[in-house]
Amino acid sequence: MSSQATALVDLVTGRTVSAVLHDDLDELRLIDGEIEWSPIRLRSLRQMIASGQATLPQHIHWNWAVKAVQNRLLAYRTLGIEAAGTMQGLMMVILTGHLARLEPDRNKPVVYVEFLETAPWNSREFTEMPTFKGVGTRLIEAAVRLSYDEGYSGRVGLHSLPQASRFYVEGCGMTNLGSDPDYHDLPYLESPASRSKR
Amino acid sequence: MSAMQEMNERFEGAAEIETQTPITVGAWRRESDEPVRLKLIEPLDSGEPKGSRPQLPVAQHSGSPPSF
Repeated sequence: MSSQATALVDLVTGRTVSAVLHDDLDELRLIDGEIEWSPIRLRSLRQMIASGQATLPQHIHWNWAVKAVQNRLLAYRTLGIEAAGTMQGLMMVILTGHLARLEPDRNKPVVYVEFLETAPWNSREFTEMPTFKGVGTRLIEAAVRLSYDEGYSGRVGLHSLPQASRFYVEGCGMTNLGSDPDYHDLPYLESPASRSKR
Repeated sequence: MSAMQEMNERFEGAAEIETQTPITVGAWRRESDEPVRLKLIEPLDSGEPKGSRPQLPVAQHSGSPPSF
């Protein structure tokens, strides 16, 4: 596992804080992350139900420890951002088996983001006052960098929550190719290859 | 412009949008990863009296162990 310095913004103080991007987390780190996130998820779930909230976050049942064990033999890689001593966001990617759908690079390989989630205390779906800003941005940047490292010229693909598409289109410059009938009708988004030299 | 400059420009403003929308990626609808749903234990129009349970077959034991 290697790691590099990055930064997030503390939304309480408005200050930039140092963070660490881990680019290949092992199962134990994912289990440790879930140990931190799970009680917060459960407390939020309790609060949502107690207050009569009609809809729950669709990923409220996720468990990264289980994902880590399920995918241990597959070609997945998990990246994470750590700040203030805890994991602030996680992203599981696969480097093989997914091909670009955008022209002119159709059928060329992409880094495919299988799962991405910010810690519950950073998500407006779980809290009205998120702690850190920039977790998803740093993770998607890391996916694009990984794509360059693999020789994929920055191509990244993913299926997002319909409500999350705005972040990937407006924030990350990805193209929304519409809902995918072969993948639960979730919107498929792709980051085109860069025509610039690295 | 280098690819890294292009990337920096592309992601400028992303963090701000991130504070306003969900960012979750993944197939939470996958069969092995189904979301939590509230379920009715008994259908309202099943015709079965509430609390009734299906009769399960009862194993008949002759008292002697099975032979293989």
